[in-house]
Amino acid sequence: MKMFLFILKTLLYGWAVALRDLSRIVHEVCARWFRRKRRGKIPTPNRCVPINNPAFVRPDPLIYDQYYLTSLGLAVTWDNPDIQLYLNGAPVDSNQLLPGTTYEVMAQIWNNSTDAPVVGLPVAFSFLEFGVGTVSVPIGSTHIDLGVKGGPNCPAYATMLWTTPTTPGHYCIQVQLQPADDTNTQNNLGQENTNVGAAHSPAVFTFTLRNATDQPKSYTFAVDAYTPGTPDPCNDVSNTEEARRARLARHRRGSQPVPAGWQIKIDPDAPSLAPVDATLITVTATPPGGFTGNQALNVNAFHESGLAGGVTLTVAVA
Amino acid sequence: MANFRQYTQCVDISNFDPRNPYVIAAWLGLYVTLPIGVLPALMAIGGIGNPLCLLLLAEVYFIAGVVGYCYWWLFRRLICIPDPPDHPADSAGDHLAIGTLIDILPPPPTLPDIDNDYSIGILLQCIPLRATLADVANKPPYGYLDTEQPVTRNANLTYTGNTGVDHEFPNHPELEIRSEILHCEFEGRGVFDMFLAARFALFPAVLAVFACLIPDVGWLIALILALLGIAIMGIAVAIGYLDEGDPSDVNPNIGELHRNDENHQGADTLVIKGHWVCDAGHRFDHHQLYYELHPITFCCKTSPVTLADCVGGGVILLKKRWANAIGDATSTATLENQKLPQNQWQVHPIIDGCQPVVIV
Repeated sequence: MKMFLFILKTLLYGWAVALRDLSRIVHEVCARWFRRKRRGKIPTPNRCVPINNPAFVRPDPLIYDQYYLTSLGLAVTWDNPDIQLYLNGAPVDSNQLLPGTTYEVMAQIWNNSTDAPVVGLPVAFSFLEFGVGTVSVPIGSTHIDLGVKGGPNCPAYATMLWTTPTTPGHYCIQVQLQPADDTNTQNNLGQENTNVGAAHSPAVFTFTLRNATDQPKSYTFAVDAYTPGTPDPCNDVSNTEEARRARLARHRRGSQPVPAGWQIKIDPDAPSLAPVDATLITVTATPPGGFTGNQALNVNAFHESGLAGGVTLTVAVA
Repeated sequence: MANFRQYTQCVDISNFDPRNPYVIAAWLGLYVTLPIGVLPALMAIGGIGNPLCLLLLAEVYFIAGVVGYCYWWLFRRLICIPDPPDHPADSAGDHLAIGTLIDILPPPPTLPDIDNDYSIGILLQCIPLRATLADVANKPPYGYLDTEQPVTRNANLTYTGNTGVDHEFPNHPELEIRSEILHCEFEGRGVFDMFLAARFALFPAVLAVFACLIPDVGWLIALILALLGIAIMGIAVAIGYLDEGDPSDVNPNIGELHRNDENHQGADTLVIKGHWVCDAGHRFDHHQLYYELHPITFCCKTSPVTLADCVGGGVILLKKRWANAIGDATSTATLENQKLPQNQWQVHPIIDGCQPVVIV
């Protein structure tokens, strides 16, 4: 009955009431729109707004970053091609550092952007006890101007003086890029982690493995003999994407295994560590009979989340 | 690579028309419509033509008005600001500014609005929040960009400057901080799209007027042509609305801009290069007159400067370094170098790069 009365009222005069209300709404919407039009564009209340315009450009400063390269399925060396130490202007291997001595640490930094330079790029230097996951101690930071790919100032060089601790030992160097903006934030941490051991058959190395995460972790190790070598000379076909992919393929993980005849023993070979806990890892490398020269071995430590770190050990046989 | 959108051209003050753009558009519509309407009107008076055909002149008038408005928007709205002697533009005619992002005015979401410029306001480096126009005036190194210049003063245009609110507190406006900012615009193509479409649509609209005079089938041809003109305008509105970068594009340069939070912290510091102009159109929408960088030809984020840089003049050196870096990045030599095989690496030069052959 109520429904019937409602329909009847609607037919008699309700339609006029509805029309009045609807007109009011239309008027409000139009008035709001015209008010807005008169004010022109208004600032958005949002804090973060996307932008997609060719005039807005973003840099991609980068350094040889072992963690990033490993995530791409590439082999890595911890003898970082972008980090070099100097003593009185002469290059020095990071495994031959003297205690209490001031070195110049130089980092080579690239930009993968063709249109966005970086002025005043902050570059932070730190050192760690030789090993994996050890605690980073700041050395200092500096700023550099980095040009675009193919332009002046690319690569650019950041230098920092570093006085080694008075405690004798091996140390690693870390270089961290800290740009204000970056299209790829994964390739900003370079690490130099090397040691040389003379093989009196066998060569024995030790390093600290520390769980730098807040979760218990189980570790495994992978050893290879990867060295990046020098890039091929450019030629007429170097410019193609196929040629670039072919060059990339030569650096795939597993492409340079430990040479036949070498025996590598890691002890313990599958440690489990609670957060912040550390253990000493011993690597025993036995060269094949008659081997002379130097052999680089990259020992990479993995846990459930990926690469934990690594060291490059060079076995030298006179 | 120097890559930016520009559809506007600034006009010398001697060619500037200070009238309201709608008046300009109305007059242009009349100039176009009247001569076209003479013949149909005479024919209608003489009893040869159908007087209803004169109704089609309304469409011609409307489209010609749109052409006039778009022409003003693109080529008569922006007044070129001559370079002050101590602040010359670079070789591309651009001025450079660094500042903190205060407000963002993205293209409006409403469909009929075809102005899809993306505007931002920055607080110039070394100028504190709450700064007034007087505080900013000629303060080095960028204050001159916000300072009234003779070109507009001599033209009797009232300069107001432009302020922005650092963070909105909708229920507590007393907490809002207003500061003098530099307005900058990334150009969109919406008005240019409409300009092209209106010029095209004018043709069938005019044809429709004359087709209507053909006996028997003329009214049908005229109707089709008139509808075509309207359809072209409708399509232009839709295209102009959609003609902007989509954040889901596959482009590494797509980014996000950040304003300050409620503690007035966290905003991006931007390096911006662009043409220094006075947008006379803001007299009608914002009821203000101020200068801006329009279009932005280069923009990227950078690190904020310290107070020491402002006091010690480091900020002036920083401006030079940025100018040099952008100049190097956009130089012909760099653009040519970027095509070389040794610069095609994507991961790291030692991994997927090649060594240039050195010819001794």
